[in-house]
Amino acid sequence: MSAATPAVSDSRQRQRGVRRTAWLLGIVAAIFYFGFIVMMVWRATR
Amino acid sequence: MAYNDHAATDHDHDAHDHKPHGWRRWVYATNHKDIGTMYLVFAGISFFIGGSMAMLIRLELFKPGMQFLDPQFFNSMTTMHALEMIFGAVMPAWTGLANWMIPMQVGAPDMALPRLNNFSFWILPFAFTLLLATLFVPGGGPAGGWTMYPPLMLQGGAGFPMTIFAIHMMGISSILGAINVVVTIMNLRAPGMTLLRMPLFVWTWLITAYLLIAVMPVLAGAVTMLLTDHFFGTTFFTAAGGGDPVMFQHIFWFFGHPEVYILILPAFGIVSEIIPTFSRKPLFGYEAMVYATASIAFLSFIVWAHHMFTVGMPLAGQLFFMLSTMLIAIPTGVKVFNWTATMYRGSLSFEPPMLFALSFLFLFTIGGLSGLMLAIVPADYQYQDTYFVVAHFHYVLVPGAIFAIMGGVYYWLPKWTGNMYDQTLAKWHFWLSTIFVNVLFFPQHFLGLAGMPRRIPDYAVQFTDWNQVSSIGGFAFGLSQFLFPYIIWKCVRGGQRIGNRAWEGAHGLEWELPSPPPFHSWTDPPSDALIQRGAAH
Repeated sequence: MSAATPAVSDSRQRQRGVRRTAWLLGIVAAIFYFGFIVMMVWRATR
Repeated sequence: MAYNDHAATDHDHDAHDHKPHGWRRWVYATNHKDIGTMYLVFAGISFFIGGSMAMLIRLELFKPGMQFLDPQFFNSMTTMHALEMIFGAVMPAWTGLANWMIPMQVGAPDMALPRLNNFSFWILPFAFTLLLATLFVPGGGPAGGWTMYPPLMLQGGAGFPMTIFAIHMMGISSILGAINVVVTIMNLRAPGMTLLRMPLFVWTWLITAYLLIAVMPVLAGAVTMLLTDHFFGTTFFTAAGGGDPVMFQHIFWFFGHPEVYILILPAFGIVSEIIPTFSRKPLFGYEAMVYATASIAFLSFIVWAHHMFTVGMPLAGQLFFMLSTMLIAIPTGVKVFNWTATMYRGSLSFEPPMLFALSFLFLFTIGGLSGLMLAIVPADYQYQDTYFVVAHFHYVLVPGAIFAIMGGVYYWLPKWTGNMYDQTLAKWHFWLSTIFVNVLFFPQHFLGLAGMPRRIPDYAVQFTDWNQVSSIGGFAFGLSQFLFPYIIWKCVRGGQRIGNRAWEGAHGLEWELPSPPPFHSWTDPPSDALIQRGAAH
C-alpha cells in the first residue's frame, strides 16, 4: 500500500473526526431524547 | 491542500462546481447556501403567518368587549402566534444564518453533514403544516399557551396529538441542525482557525448548539408525558391520580429558560460582528465576550423556576432562583459594556445593519432590566401573568432577536447577492420598526403594572387607552415589515455591484470570498495570513 500524501491523510483524518463527533453527539442526543421517554414509561408502569 | 475530497463534500455534485437546477436544486439540496436560503425563506413566511395572528390579537384587544374572535379562537391565536414565532420564525432564521455563514467564516467548503442538513430542514414544513392544520380540526388549535400547562392543555380536541407530534418534529429538526453545527465547527475549521480566532457569531452558535442538544429532549419528554396522560391513562400531571401539575412547569421551564438563550445568543454574535465593522475598531474584550456567552449558557440551566415563583415553592428555592437569575445580569452587562466600549472613540457610521444593532443594544437592555424586575420574588408576585411579562419578553425577542436577525440580513445580504440593497428604504424600514415597536410594546408595561392579565380576549374599561395605543403601534409595525421582503427581493434582482468587502470596516473570512460567493465556499482552505487578517478582534 503506498503511503498517503499529506493532503489525503489530512482529509481522511478530518473525515474520521466528522464521523466520530457526529456519532458521539447523535448518541448523546438519542440517549437524552429516548431516555426521557423510556424513564417516563418506566415510572408510569411502577 | 484541497478540501473537495472531504466527507463534508462527499456528494454527487461536489467534485465539480456543478449546480443542480430547477426544483431538484431545492428538494435535494445539500449545499449550505441553498439550505440556508430555504431556512431563511421559511422563517420569513412563518414570521408573516405568526405576525398575522398577532394582528388578530391586537384587533380583538383594540377595545373592551368581544369584537371579532370567540375566546377559544383567541386563545388559539396567542398559542399559535408564540409557537410560530419561536419555532417557525426565530429558530429557523438562526439556523439559516448559521448555514450561510458558519462554513464561510471558519474556512470550510460546506456543512459537515450535508444530507442531514437537507433532512433537518425538510422536517420543518411538514411540522408546521401539521401545527397549522390543528386550526381546522374539531376542537380547534392548541389554546393552552405555548407553555402547554396541564390541565388546560389536556382539554384540547383532535388538534392536541397533532400539536405534540409537530413539536416532536421541530425538536428533532433542531437537534439534527445543532449536531451539524457542532460537527462543522469542531472538524472543518481551516488550519490556523483556532477556537479563539473564530468570529463571535460562530462562537455563540457553537454554544447555542450545545444548549439545543441538551434541552430539546426535555421538551420532548414533557410533551410525551402530556400525550400519555391524555391517551394512555397515566397521571403524571393529574393530582387525582397521584401526579402533580406543577411538575410539568418544572420540566417545561428546565427546557424553556435555556430556550430563551437559544433565541438570543446568536443575536449577541451578530451584534458583535456588526458593531466593530461600523465603528472601524476591533471588538473590545473578545475573550471576555466568549466567556460571558458560556457563562450565560451555564446559568440558563439553574434559573428555570423564576418563571413559576407563584406556585408556592420553599423560601430557599425562591432565594436560590432569584439570586441565580440576577447573576445573569453580570455576563450580560459585560457584553453591553464591551459593545459600548467598542464604539467609544470609533469612527462610527450608521448604515442599516448598525442602526439595527444600536436599536438592539438599547431596547434589548430595556427587556433585560424588566427581566431583573421580574426576578425579584415579591415584585414578581405582582407582575406574574400580567401584561408586564408580555412587554418584557417581547422587548427581548422583537427588538432583541428579530432586530438582530434583520441587522444580520442587512449586513450579509450584499455578500449573498453581490448587490447592494436600497439603503434608503432599509433605513425607512429601521425607523418605522423602531418607532412602532415601542408604541406597540412600551404601553404594555403600564397595562401590566395596572393589573391587566395576559391571555384574555376582553378587559376592564380602564385598560382601554393603552390597549388602543398598543394596537395602533402593532398595526403600524406589522405593515412596515412588508418593506423587508420587498428590499430583499429588489436586491436579489439587481443593484449596485459590490466587491468582496461590502463594508469597508468588515473583517472576517467571508469578506475574502467573491460576492456572491462561489457555490462551494472554500474549496481550498484560506491561508494563515487571511485568517489572521480576518481575526482582527
